[in-house]
Amino acid sequence: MKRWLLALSLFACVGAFGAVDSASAQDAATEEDPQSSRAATFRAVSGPQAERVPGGLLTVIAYGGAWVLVLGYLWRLGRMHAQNERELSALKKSLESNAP
Amino acid sequence: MALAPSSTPSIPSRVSPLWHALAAITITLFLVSFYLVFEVAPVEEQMGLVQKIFYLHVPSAYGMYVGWTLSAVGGLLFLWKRSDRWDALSVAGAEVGTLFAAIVLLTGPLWGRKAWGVYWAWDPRITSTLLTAMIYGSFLALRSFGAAGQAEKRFAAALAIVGFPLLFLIKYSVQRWSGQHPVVLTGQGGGIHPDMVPALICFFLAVTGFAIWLLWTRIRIERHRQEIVAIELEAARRGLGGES
Repeated sequence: MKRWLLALSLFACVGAFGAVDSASAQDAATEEDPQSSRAATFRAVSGPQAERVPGGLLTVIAYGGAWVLVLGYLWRLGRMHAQNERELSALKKSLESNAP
Repeated sequence: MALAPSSTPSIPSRVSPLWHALAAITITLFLVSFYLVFEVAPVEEQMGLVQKIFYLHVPSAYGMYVGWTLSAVGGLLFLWKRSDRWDALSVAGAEVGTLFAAIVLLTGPLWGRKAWGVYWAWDPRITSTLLTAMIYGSFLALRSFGAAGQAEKRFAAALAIVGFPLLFLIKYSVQRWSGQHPVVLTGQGGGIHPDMVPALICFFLAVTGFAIWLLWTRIRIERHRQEIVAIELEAARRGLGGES
């Protein structure tokens, strides 16, 4: 009987030790691996907000991009006008050379 | 020897003083607008600086509507009257409308990045705007392949007309299917701060002047192009020239 009690108490100690060890190992793993931490817990940020969208930069890109588009179209209009002028002058020369 | 055919009346080569005056007024209005937007209008409480995109985005959407509407009107009148002047209006309207649509589709996602956390959302208004831009983009692609013949002009006019009802879809999609797009200026929205109004009105005026100036310039270029093509055809018919 004493043997049985001794074996049982020894088993319980080993089991308890194993459980504590396993739990502490899990805690350590949780602290080391942010991915598993994210899946298990939600924590509040401390200090300033972690994610910030740069509003000023987005505004600069918006106005700058609009300027680029407008200037690009004005450049295209200028090119079309210049092409018309070139073709008109070529046409005039061609007609003058063919005139009787 | 006058070679210009009677169907294409000669375009005056001198630019009207009104064209220069409109350009000067538009530049001034833009400068005043930028001053009002960045110096006078207050920074919005929740959106911060990104809200300043609104002053560019909304008037550009208005310019987009004006351009594409004129393109559809020009297409319709071209199919009815078969006059090249209406074709010139249709081309100019499509180009100017698409330019403003490009600004809308550029500035909207930048605003959305701050407001929604993503650059693009398949919201009814945004999606219908993209769809309409693709229709008028196909119009411009069709017309960009050199000198357009009557068949290309007719097909392009039909595209401009097909795209027109989608403008109503863009306008009323928010009311019909809600979505994420802001409704600040509509009846459902809460409006804007009184100090933001002058900047918005000035930007609207600047975009109006700019849209008219661009349409004027583009129509003029297109009419010159049509006249050159007509003279070339007439010269070829008479057996003159040929190398141009």
